[in-house]
Amino acid sequence: MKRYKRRFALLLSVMMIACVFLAANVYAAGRIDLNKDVSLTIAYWDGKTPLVGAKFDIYLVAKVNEYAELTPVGSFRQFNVNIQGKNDKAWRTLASTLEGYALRDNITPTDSGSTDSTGHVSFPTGGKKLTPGLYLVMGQRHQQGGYRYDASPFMVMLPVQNNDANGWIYDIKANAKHDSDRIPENPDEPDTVTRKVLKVWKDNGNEKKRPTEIAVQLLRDGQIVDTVILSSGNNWRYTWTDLDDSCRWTVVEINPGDYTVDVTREGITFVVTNTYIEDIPDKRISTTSITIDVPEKEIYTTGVIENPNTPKNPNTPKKPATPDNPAPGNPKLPQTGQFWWPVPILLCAGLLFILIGLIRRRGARR
Amino acid sequence: MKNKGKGLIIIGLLLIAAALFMILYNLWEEKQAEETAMEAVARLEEMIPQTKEEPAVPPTKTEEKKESEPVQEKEKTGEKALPEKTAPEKEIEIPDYVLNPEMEMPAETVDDNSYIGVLEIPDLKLVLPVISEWSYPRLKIAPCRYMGSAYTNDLIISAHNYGSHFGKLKNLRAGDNVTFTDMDGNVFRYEVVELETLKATDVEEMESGDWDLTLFTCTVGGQNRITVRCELAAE
Repeated sequence: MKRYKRRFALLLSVMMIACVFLAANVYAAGRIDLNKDVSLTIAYWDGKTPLVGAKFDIYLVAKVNEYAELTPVGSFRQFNVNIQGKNDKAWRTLASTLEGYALRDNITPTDSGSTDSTGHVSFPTGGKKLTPGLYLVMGQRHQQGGYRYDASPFMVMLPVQNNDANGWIYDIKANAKHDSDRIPENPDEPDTVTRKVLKVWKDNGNEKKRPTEIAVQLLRDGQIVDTVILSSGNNWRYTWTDLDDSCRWTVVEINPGDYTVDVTREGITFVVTNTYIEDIPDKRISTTSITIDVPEKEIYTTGVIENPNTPKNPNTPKKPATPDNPAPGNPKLPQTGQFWWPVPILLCAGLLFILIGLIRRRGARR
Repeated sequence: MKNKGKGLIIIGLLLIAAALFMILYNLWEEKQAEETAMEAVARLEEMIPQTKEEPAVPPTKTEEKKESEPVQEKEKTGEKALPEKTAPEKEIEIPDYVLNPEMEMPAETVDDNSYIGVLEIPDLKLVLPVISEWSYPRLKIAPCRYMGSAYTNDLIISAHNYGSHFGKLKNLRAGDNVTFTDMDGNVFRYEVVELETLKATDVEEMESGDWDLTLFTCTVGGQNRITVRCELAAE
């Protein structure tokens, strides 16, 4: 328990530091009016076809105060995730990671709604009121026109900074992205798919603090169906084959220790990245997109804006394999030659000795 | 006086015998190395999954998969057009090393030795296994990784100068092909760029430089290292 408290304290510290550096930008946009209602309207279309009746859930992940400082709330306080969304990809990663936790822990959504005949759904629903803050938006699997649609989860900040008007936008509209597959004609013979999980460590200089193994859970439609242990013994990876393609498969990591966890999907592989908490890059980066300056023509998608000044995440330097027998003293390259050089010397010396011997012998006879 | 010179002749014969013994030992050692390497290659080729040629570029999406198309909306206050990005290639297997180039190269064990892949040099008619980490006993069995990784384009492989290992390395010329296949079946194709001779103490020079692949072995005298520098072959 102490350990969890320590981790949470660390994350909070990071956020607090981030918020200090946010101040200048926040002042530029003015304070957030917390008394003003915030709303989110999601458009869900496949090309020009509205997707009707698709259910979306939104989860309040962190509250925001008038200075744009974020405070994780509810169940989301317990996860070791980095909510410093420094760019669009980081926000998508955060959404993808939190989706697994929300499904696994069956977290109650803050609000839920379904798209109408025009493919739109608006939050809050039914006279509710949304708390300003950072939200996770997840769409449930939807079937229409012979296809099944899986909405990509995303993060959205309510309200979001309006860079054009130097203020705040309280009513946000966003398009939900999706993947789609044709529904198999014969449901009795479902297609099978393969899913892989690959562990990535970002802890340069702190490798010794890595746990020797970590556990990853495979979720089928939000239910845990398998738990595997990843370690150096299996190269920190695992493959599941013959999975039912009609189900949604996600993975969640448990017990990441003093590391934050990111889960992204690349093709059939879930990449689970653990970043040592000290290694979280550039704490000045906003915890939200709301304070980041955006070029005038740049668009926003889901409240996720890339800061052009954001330094790229430094890659871990290349680490060569360590030979198991380092040379003592002056380093030398391995000796990779056979001992051929003594052969001619021995032969010559032998012949010389024989020759001298024969000469002496002949001299003695004379 | 009869024995005058006999002792020298005996010493001479012993020296020649020692030379012959050394020749026989070297030939036997080389034969052993050739056999163990061949055996390891055969075992590894059974373990390596179907080779994956230039796997980094995902193929075109099938027609069965539909993509989100951009939805253009008129800009209003608090409402902007939101073009959607291309949907992810859902069922494409991206090689692990592409997703994580820093990963350790996967290895398989054959006869207590851990191998990271197979090196092929067609111009020398060589197909050799590569042991994960070098040591002198392992160098007598097969070429060994000196350092680096094929995934981070800095792999350096060292081997004995047996004729069946890297003994003919000096015969390579710029433009010759070298192929390395890892234990996941990923194939890395290289081209020889240059050969150089380094001293045994030129450790920094061996390890520096921006070479995708380096092969080295001892000269016959053992004082220097014949070093072959390679770059990934162009598409």
